[in-house]
Amino acid sequence: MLVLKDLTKSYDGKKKAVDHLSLTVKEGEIFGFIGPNGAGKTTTIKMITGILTPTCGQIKIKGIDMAQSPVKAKMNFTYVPDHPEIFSSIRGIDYLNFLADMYEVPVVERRDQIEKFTKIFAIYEELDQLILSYSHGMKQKLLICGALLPNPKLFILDEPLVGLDPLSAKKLKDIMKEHCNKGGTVFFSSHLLEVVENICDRIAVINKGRLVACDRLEKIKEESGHTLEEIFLELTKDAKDA
Amino acid sequence: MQRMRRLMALAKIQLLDFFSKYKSGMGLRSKKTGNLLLYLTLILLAIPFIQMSVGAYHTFLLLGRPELAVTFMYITTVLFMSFTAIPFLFSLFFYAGDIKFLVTLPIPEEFIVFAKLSTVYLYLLVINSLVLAPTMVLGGINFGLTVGSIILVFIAWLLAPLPPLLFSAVVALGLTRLAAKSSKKNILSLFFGFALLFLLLGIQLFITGESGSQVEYWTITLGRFFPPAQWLARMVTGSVKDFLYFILLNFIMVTGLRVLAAKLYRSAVLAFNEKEVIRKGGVYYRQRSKTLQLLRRNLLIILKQPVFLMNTLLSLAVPCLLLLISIITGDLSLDTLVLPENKGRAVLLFVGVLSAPALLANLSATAITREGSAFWETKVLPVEPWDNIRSRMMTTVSINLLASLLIGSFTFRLLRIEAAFLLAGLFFVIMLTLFLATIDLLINLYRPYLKWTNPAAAIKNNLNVLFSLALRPLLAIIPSFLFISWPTLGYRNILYLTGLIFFVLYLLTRKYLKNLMIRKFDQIIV
Ligand SMILES: Nc1ncnc2c1ncn2[C@@H]1O[C@H](COP(=O)(O)OP(=O)(O)OP(=O)(O)O)[C@@H](O)[C@H]1O
Ligand SMILES: [Mg+2]
Repeated sequence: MLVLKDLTKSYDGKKKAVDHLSLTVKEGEIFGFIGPNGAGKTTTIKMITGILTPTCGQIKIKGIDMAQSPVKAKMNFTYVPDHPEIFSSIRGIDYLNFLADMYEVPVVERRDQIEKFTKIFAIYEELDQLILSYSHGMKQKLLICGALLPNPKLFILDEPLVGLDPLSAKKLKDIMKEHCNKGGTVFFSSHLLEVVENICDRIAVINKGRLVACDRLEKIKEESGHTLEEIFLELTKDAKDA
Repeated sequence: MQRMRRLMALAKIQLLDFFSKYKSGMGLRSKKTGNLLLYLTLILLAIPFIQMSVGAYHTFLLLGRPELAVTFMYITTVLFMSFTAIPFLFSLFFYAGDIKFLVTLPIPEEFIVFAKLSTVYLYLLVINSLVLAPTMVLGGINFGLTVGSIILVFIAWLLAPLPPLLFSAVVALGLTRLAAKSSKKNILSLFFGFALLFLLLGIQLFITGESGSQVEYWTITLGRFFPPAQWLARMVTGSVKDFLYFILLNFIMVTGLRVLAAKLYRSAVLAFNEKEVIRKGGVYYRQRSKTLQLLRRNLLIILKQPVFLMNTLLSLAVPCLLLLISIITGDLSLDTLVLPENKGRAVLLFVGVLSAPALLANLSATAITREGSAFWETKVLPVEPWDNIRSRMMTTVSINLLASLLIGSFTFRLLRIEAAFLLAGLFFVIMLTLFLATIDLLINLYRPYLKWTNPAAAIKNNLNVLFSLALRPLLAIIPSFLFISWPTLGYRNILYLTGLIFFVLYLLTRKYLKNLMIRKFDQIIV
């Protein structure tokens, strides 16, 4: 579904924020991407989604090369950023219609999808208000609804659970699972180890831009005989020396 | 002492923020060429202002009243500064990212107000140096230079921006406070901006008008209404008494603002942040084309941000106001302009007014910057980068052409332009608009600058705008060259030919720079 090969990004030409990262996300799985602050998670996700161009390396989404046919590749995924910074002088419903047009979702389908998801996240009543008047969490939920609306094959989220109330977080986790059961794929970054432990099929641990582990969670645990927290701390222990 | 240090610390942060904008993201490979380009741009832009100032001095010198030149120019400068400062302060007070953080700090409100004023003060000092200083220096020289008078001129230069600045602060805060209950806060300020502009241009044309005695009369009268202008004039000639008056005035204003600031600021910010919940239209589901949606988004970014809207409308309105005022003041006589022998002048005027939106509202130069932290949004969408870039050019073109057509439809009748010339003029303007919308965007692609803290920084306090303005005079070379080397061509053919050249330039830009633009667009770091 998603293949990263030797993906590298350097902002200043010297220090590498992401350093020859290679990994493969299979169809139908929930893939957790974890690592300490500044490890390069957001940078990786920004490259996958086309916000940043990689310094070198390759990204393939459903076999389509991001560099060669970005539009075709982008039709296959949607993205929820870590900060919900969007043009907010329009109303929620304008934003959702805008996204639906971009992903070419027909009117009937978009009505069903928008009603379904905004009702799940309890923002349906606020759709006719300016996004400016939304709270941080409401904005985030609007972005999640927008990303789910085109029913993407690959659903990419950067720290999706930060800022959500427990009920909304639970609903999002359920939706992520449901999305996979229907054949979709989820790729998300997180700090919350228990979440990763509960819902991920496979995880990748990244530290200082480099991949330090990537496997099924049980397997990593078996091999080391530790809890995820211990493993995480062990794998990334040199992070604070940097 | 402690209090003073905190005020200084606050002001320092504001100034650092202001200057880092100029330094950050020069986007030019070598620092040296970058700086050279910057200074060249500044010089190119400063010349007309200095010329205006020197010109005013000579006008009054011919009248035998050189001391009035300072009075007159100060009145002009005060208007000019207020017009600049009000939208600027509006943006700094209410839209700056740091406001939420500043109001929570244990510092008195007047500190925040004064710290914010310090940035605008520097800005006004630059205007002052260009518009007023040349007149003051010439005036000072005329009355004989002494050490005392040099010091006085220097102090006058430093103090001159204070009254308009303090006045603008009261207006910006007061207006918002007054309009707190109405949903038209922004319209009100917009109206005020226009009123000031109108005044400014009126006075500008006045000085270039024919009847010298009238100018003298009005300057004396206005000076009587606005004594600081007289004091400043006499300060330049070495009067210490007037210097004391001027200092006293500033002292009173600062004290006044200190008392007012505490009261006004909090209530204005509070009033401003009370965003009423607007529900309208209800929930709808409608399909639109991708192109239309992108265009709509870019248009709304201008229309929904009051500071952007204000700035756009003001720059579009300048030529209209200019024409209107020159007709009202009789500076421009329609009766003589429509005479057959003046046909050329009328056509030139018509084309000039028609091209003004494209020349002055350089919207493409900040098309990407305006999006700020929301820029990433369209980048993740399945849209071709070129379509994405093009929608920004189309936004500029549609706004500029709409303004050109509006202005054109009434000046065309007013000046009784023949259909053949109308066609040539329209052709020229459309091509000019297309070319400028493209080339300006290239400037923005090289210097995207998305991390602004207040909207004025995105559009006013932005080097891109200066670069794009500096480009304009260079374009005038084409028609001038044609006119000189081919005098028999006639206005109409020159318009067609220049238009054609712009069109070819536009096509060449698109053909050869398209890939560069896409590459630059992709490389923007968000
Ligand atoms: N716009 C930028 N310009 C320069 N360097 C950057 C930029 N964004 C990130 N970096 C650097 O890249 C590295 C990786 O940052 P990134 O945001 O990808 O980390 P992260 O794993 O998402 O961290 P967090 O858990 O805090 O979100 C950091 O060293 C950071 O300083
Ligand atoms: Mg991150």
